[in-house]
Amino acid sequence: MISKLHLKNFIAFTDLSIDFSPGINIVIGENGTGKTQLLKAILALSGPEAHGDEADKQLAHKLCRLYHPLSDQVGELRRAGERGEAMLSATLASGHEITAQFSGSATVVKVSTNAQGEASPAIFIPTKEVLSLVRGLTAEQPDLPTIERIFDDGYLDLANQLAKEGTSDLDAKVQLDPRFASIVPRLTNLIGGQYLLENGRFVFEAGRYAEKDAATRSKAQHAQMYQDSTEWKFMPDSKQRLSCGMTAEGFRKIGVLQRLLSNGSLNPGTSGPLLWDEPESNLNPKLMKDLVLALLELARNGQQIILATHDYVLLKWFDLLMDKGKGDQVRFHVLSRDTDTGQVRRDSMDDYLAIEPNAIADTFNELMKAQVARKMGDLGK
Amino acid sequence: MKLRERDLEIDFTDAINAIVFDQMKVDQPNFHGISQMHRVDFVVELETAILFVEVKDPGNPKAQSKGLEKFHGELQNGTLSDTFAAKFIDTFLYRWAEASLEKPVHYVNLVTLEDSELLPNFSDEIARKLPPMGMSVPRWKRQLFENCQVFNIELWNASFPKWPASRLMPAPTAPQGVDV
Repeated sequence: MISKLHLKNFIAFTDLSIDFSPGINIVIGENGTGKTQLLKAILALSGPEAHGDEADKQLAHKLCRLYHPLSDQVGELRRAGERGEAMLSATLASGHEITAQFSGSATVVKVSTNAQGEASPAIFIPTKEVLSLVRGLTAEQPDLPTIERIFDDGYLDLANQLAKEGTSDLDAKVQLDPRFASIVPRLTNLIGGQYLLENGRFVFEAGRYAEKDAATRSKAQHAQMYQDSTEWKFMPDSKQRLSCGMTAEGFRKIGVLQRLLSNGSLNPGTSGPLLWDEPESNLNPKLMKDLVLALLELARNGQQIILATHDYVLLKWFDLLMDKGKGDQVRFHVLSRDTDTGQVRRDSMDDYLAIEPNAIADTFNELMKAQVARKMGDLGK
Repeated sequence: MKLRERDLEIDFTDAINAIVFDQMKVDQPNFHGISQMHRVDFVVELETAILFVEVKDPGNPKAQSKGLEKFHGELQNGTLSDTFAAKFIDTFLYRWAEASLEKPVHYVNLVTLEDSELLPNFSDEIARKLPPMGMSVPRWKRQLFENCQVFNIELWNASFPKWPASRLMPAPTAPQGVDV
């Protein structure tokens, strides 16, 4: 879990420091204010490349793989026109601090840390859907240089995590771990099925989770049912499976979350922060409410979540569905560009209505004013 | 011309005429007299247009939770936009019968919602319930309204500097609840 990130002279940021909530963090801001860059910085600092003897070289390589600088040299990521070295620093909830520094001509970074051992790496879900890319990205003899030219490590890391074997039997997981019972059936029923890894590619099995028929339970089980949560079972619609490319892209995005939970890559309470860049992209707004409910449930089970978004519907559902009584903590972090200096600023607030400047609300206000101008002309002016 | 609806006041500085349309007190000017008809709060005549104005005040600091609950319930289940639509249509008929509909009509409403994001959607929801319900009707030669929009105080004032809206600071009295 990350508690603080400090970026100095790094790409869009002259000096930006941000304190994260252990629950849900929502980063908002207009295009070009560095939301994705911020998520990627967390990914880099929490990954295995930032640790160990080769960290200086490996982290430099990782940063290049995540940000694709033109020269392929990490030094290019130092913010031009500023004095001093670039610096990225993360403080984890455990007190563990990782700092990376480099000059404008550097090919490696200087990594310093106050503790041994690795942090739990973050999981980054980029804007484009990755499930259907897994087959090509993780093929046995992939053309790596080509793949790396097309996709940054944000995509490749996730593809590798999705392809990881693990207890892929979601049913068993749902039965064994009550935490999953409230999340996995919800996600599955939302998209009407589940994605399974078969022969190196993802396929879609249509079906729904249903409450297990009481008649099939023994009396002892029945008694237990009232103590525990509801018992769920996945009921496939038919034996036919669909190629993942034949399913809606929005469904595949939900499928990513489903898969990460099922193979243990995402394990609330132990895994690093879940970083999700624009969860709303390609998602039907009607799916948003259930997605937000699932994310809140993950956070209640100890999963730190950091989202970047442009979407009013997503923000508003968090505002409406969060339940402080259940310990929900949602913090909004607003990135904006100072009109005079051009520097990116950050403000954080715990209340949706306090968000300022709110680029999303401003857009709605623009719509209102445009309608007045078009339909009422000079009336009232 | 200043018109007041409870704690909110709008000054239509360039109006030719501005009346409290839903006047149900018989001894007052412009007595409406048909309680069975829905009524907007104000009707304002400008040189080139007519405004129908409905005012709702859920943002009133004195609003009671019961009233707010009702307001938000109605906003959510669509009955609030039904009411706004009914008020427009009945007011339109009443003004037609008065032979006072010679200019294009704008339905501009003041609702003190804090979330300005809800306003465009709520505006469209009302407009969809006004004839011709978003349909194209080639037989029609004119339309009932030019614009239908809901504003909060901030957006109202930004859009209509000649019609400033403000919350009146009431004289300090014992705390009391108000209807939204």
